[in-house]
Amino acid sequence: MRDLQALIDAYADGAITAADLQRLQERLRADAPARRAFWRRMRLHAQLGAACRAAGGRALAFPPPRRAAWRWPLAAAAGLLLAAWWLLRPAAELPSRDGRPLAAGTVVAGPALLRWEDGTSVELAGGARAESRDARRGPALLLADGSAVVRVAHRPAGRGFAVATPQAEAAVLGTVFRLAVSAGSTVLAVQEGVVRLGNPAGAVEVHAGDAATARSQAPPQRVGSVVHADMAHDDVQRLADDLRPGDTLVLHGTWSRPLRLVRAGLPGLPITVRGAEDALLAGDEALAEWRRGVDGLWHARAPWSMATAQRPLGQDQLLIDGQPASLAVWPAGAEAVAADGSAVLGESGGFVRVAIRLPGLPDGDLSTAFLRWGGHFGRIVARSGDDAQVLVHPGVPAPRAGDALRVLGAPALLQQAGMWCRSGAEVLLRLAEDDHPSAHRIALQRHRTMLELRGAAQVRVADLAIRAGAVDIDADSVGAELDGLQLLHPAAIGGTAVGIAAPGVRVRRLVVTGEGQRIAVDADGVVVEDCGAAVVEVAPGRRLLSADRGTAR
Amino acid sequence: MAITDPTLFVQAELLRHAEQLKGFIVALVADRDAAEDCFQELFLTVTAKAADFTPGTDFLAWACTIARYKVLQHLERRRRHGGYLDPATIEALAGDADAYHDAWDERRKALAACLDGLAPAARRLVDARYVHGLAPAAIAAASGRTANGVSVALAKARDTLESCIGRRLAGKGG
Repeated sequence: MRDLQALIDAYADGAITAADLQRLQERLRADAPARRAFWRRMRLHAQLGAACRAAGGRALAFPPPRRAAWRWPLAAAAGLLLAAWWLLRPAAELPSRDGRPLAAGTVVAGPALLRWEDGTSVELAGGARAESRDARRGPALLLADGSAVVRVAHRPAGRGFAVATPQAEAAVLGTVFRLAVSAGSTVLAVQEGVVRLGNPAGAVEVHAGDAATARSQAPPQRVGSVVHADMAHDDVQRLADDLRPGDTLVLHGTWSRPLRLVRAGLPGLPITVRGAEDALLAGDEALAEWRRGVDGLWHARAPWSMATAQRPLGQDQLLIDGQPASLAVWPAGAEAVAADGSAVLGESGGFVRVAIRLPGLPDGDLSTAFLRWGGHFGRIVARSGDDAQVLVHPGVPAPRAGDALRVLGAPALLQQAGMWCRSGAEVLLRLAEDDHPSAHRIALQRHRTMLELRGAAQVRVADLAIRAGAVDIDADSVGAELDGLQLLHPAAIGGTAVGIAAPGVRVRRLVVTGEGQRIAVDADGVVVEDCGAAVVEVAPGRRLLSADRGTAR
Repeated sequence: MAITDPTLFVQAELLRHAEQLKGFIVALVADRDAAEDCFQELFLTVTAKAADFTPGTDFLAWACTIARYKVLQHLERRRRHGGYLDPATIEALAGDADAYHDAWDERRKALAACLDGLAPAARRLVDARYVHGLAPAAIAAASGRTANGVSVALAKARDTLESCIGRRLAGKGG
């Protein structure tokens, strides 16, 4: 049992060897008590993480790296916060800052430049933290958090300069390089000279301009590969999820799902996603085969196979020639007033069933209809004349007599030209009597945002066309760049073509079609150049670094 | 705040159980970056499948089933990196996951109290591992101990906490 516990702990600590992992798996597959012991220990590991963080943790004898906390889904980016762990040795002296020597144990916050007497220097980036050490007693410097550039002076033979990380050790003799450590890997980028990156599994020599990455139990590998993706056949999202600093992904063809970029590059070693001439991210799908029903409505098959009724109301938008059509709604003008309501009929599948009277409710099919009152929604599940039954989530105040309300999304409500709704797997549309669907490009927009940068710091997206979908850059995508993007009718509602929440983002050569489209900036130091007719809207208190074209307001 | 539709309902439930679900995923992938990716995918899938969830049934069991598939998909993509559990082990483990969820809230409360009683040196070690996310090798490099020594000391601290939690749940104080 003791042995099993040690194996489980080593596994949970990321410190298990391949042979021990094999042993652990054999035990777990064969033995139910071992599996239960595994889960009980894992429960302790999970709760310890949360409990220790909740208690605020304690300062260590050395400055701790800020561990990337669990971030809110979608705002997360693996490997963005580089909790770097550097041990520099064996410089014989203590470093100095601004000409003043630093005593061992001094904590230095970046940006800062540390120098050793032989000319070796370490440039800490803003936000980085390090502690000086006496090299004779161990590491010369401990980088606890952030990234840094190391310039190693030429040294006599036998006096190399080594940088160790949990995954590998970089041995150098006179060079300039950048090293960054995230939870699972080390990335090395060499600016000058040659660095050998090695661990027990192997080694690789990295020359100026190249980069390499190392993970535990795997030989280090060079990065900077160029991957071509045919979006008709390849899983582009999966390829994008595997990008490393220095990599380039070239897109060909059409992709009709949102593309989410969550990997970060490094300063001087960006990740590039580039569109070939035919590359298109299409947030809509054209509806071509329309037939006229006896109800006078135009019917088309919804173009995807998923259970359409399960998509929340308002997630899809019908576009007619790039302009949004109105979702079927009753009444079309002022809201209706409930004459009588809120009689609770009982419970149904966890929801509350209430009765409501709506004078003048249109006759016909309301089986897909929703009721909206205040900020609340309920589903209409039965009606008889002006009386309707509505399923309401428990905890939502039921509609009452006198409440202003609307009914949405059912065929019976399609009373005006330009209105649409979905019914089962069909899209229904009412057009003017003398109009015909073939006179228009009619498409369903399925995704409001087609390109998302989530923690995609130092990522460059270039030469890509996006139709019926906006671009969103979150606050962690520092220094991202959009160059040469074409946004065709990007946002059917709201008019934000590009939303920017990260500082230092550059947007160049952006072409936007569609009325009143905006680039919304809520961050400092953003550069917008050559963006034609797009209106740049800057949040109060924020300053653009540059906007030499377009209209800033 | 009122929850008005199934999507918001399952998202709220996911948030309420986030700590427990993340721990479940970490147990199966043992890599916080990978686990974070899986949790994001879980969030998206739970959102997309909100209408499949029947209110009043066991949300955690439903979400853990989806989480397990997300982990398997993820590991399928990452297989070449090595260092992960294989699908057969994950499937075998799934049948005994109730040992993980058992008495979650009570144990979590007891653990908070037990942490306060931990010896300062052990507490520093536990913080280095769980607050600052350092592997035993990194703790060893920084503290001048051997990696093996750190692992042994961490195991002792965990055993101490397990016993303390057990005593507290048995009503004998801690």
